[in-house]
Amino acid sequence: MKKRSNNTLDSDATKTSAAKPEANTPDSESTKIMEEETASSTLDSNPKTSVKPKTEAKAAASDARKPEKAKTEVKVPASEPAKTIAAKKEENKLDPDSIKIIEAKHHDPFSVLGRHPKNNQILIKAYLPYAETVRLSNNGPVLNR
Amino acid sequence: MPEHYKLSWVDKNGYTHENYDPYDFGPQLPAFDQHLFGEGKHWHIYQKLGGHLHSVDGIDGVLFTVWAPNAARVSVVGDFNRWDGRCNPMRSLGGSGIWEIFIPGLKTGCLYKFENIKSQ
Repeated sequence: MKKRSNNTLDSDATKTSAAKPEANTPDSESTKIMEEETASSTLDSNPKTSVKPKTEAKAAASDARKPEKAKTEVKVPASEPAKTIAAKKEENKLDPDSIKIIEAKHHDPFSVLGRHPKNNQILIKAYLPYAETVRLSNNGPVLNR
Repeated sequence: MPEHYKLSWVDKNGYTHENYDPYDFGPQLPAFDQHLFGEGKHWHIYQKLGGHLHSVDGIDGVLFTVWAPNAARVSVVGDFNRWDGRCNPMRSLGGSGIWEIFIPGLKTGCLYKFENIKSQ
């Protein structure tokens, strides 16, 4: 399990990041996932937030060895614009649907990619094989590989 | 969140690409067309299948549709996605056998093909 700290890129001090527990890098897939998760202040009480070690430097170092594939997930609260919230990055174990997307074998990619509700937030998932960094255009946080 | 969001990403050469997310758009081909086509009585299906300029919520792009009833997966590949079938897999429209995807930002003149993976 590898966890990354929340990466606060927003000046709004009232917002903090929430954490997501699962994190893993499947070496067999040689695929790194970037996930950006944002949370509103209503989620400040999330106990997971306090247990996040700071591994941003490690993440940056590993960027040099990144594989070609990258998947980005952006999660934002349903009620807030992305620019008002903080962000976090973490590595995440690939779910079977995501693996099928990467293998280009998924029968219904629209059920995985795009914008979907998850835990009262919105999860935006995009598969951009040629991307080095990804962000939402409206001042969203930058996601590295 | 805005009605439709844009993704901005940087490639290895430092070039920034910005576009609306194709996977943020719902099905585009009306059920009416699917029904007529399924009956074999859609006399203007050439105006629907293939690649056609299309606009969704004021966002211009190209709607690609193709009939591939036995495919496990269909992607549109072209000069806009490095001919990489992983980039833009399409949506299957129910039992009609039609696959579609709306790609915002594309204009006339781009080259494309459909990449079809047969079901085993």
